[in-house]
Amino acid sequence: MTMALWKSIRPYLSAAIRFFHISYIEAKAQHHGARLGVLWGPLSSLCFVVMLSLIFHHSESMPQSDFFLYVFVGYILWSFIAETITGSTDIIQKRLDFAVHNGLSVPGLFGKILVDRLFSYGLNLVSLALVAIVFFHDKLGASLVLFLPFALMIVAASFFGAYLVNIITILFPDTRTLFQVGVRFLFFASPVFWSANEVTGGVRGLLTTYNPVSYFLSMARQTMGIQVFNPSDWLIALAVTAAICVAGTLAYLGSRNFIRNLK
Amino acid sequence: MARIDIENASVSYYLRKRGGASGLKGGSVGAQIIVGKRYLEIAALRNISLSLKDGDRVGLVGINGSGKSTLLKLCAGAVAAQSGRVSVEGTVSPQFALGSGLRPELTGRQNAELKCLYMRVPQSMVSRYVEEVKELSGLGGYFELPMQSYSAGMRSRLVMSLLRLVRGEILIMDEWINVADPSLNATVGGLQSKLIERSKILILASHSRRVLDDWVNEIMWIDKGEIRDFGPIGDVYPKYQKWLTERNERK
Repeated sequence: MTMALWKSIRPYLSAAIRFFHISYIEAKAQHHGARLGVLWGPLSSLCFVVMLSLIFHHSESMPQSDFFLYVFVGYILWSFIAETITGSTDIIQKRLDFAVHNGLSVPGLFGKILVDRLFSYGLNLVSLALVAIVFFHDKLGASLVLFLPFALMIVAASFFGAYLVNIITILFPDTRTLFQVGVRFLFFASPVFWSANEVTGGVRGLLTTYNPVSYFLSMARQTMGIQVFNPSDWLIALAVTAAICVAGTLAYLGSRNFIRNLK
Repeated sequence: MARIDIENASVSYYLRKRGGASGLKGGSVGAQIIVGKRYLEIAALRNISLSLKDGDRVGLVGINGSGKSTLLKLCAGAVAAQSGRVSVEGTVSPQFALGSGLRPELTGRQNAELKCLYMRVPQSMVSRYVEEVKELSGLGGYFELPMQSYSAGMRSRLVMSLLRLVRGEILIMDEWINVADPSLNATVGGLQSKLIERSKILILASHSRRVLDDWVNEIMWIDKGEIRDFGPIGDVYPKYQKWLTERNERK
């Protein structure tokens, strides 16, 4: 049983490792000549998080250090979400030819680009883990087991969400700019650098309740023990993930016969 | 076993319509353009049927825009058929254009590393393969520089050397095969031949009779997206040449 399971997942693991290696080579090339190389990714995130947490800390109920961790966890997930949207507007149009020459199908191409995003997110997570171990070890605990279901959900939502974004921009080119602007708006509309717990009503209340991103941010913070485990957040995020997966699958099935032929 | 079965397949490209549809009549080359509500449909292939098995080596001939490249792309899965049936068994290695699948901003070494990983070379053997590519290409120090700084000849050398990593049962090559730098050494040139010999099925588009004679045993003449003739080179090529000459005289 265990052997059969291992055999079935081994090819996927092997492909994932290969893709992570590819992402590393590409990221290294991006920072060619820089002494810190790929470390600039997590370092720039860290600098931005420090700035956000210093400028936007206005809460009496949350100490500055806790607010820093709150923003850190939220910001790195936000970067992953933003990259899923803004980085997926022209995948098929610009990278399919490259993919075909390297033996990748359309789903394979989206898988490869998902790994690129996970690579960046992974680097940020490593820096978060180091900061948490050194400065916030008292917060780390059993809630970390929630990370696995959380990771599975964001991976699925990101994979299918990327295809949805791409197909929408192919069919309606004007939406490319809308996605770019929308992501900027969503950054401010999501509780990345403001606390959802302190919102009782008004526009922010609406944004917290009806913005799916806020549930994913809550989940990330719950895995780190910054927020109390709230099953309803997980259920809503699961429903959103399922909806994205179903919509992405339907979009793929409905478009696979013509999408490669659109020029 | 490798196999390609195409039955009555038609392939169209779609372009978003911009402005009016006047002036979109077909020219002396290229496929028919159908003006739709939101898209222009270019009927690149119509009712193509083809069955290839192990050992088949087929050359594609036809004027520009006849549908040769689209047929290659259909076999490689780069485009989909809107009607008909396409079944491809075996790993496909498409070689459409010189440098396709490589990243110009990366060095020769990085491109070789990436190629190894994409071609599923075991991680433990990547560095050995990369050194082999470096040796074969003869690029020396240029191997460590970005590909965008290469001359056309240097790019050819790198691409030809990377063929060492290609392991397709079905090899699909477009006309770039003709543009290889004549100064390439025998080893690199030999790699190309080995790659072709190793493949179970070869589909090659070329205008060169010499290339076709060297590597294929049958040719398919495609015109306006349809198969006009298919058979041994000696039978089909003279007909194609005659048609081409008459066509040029009519112009």
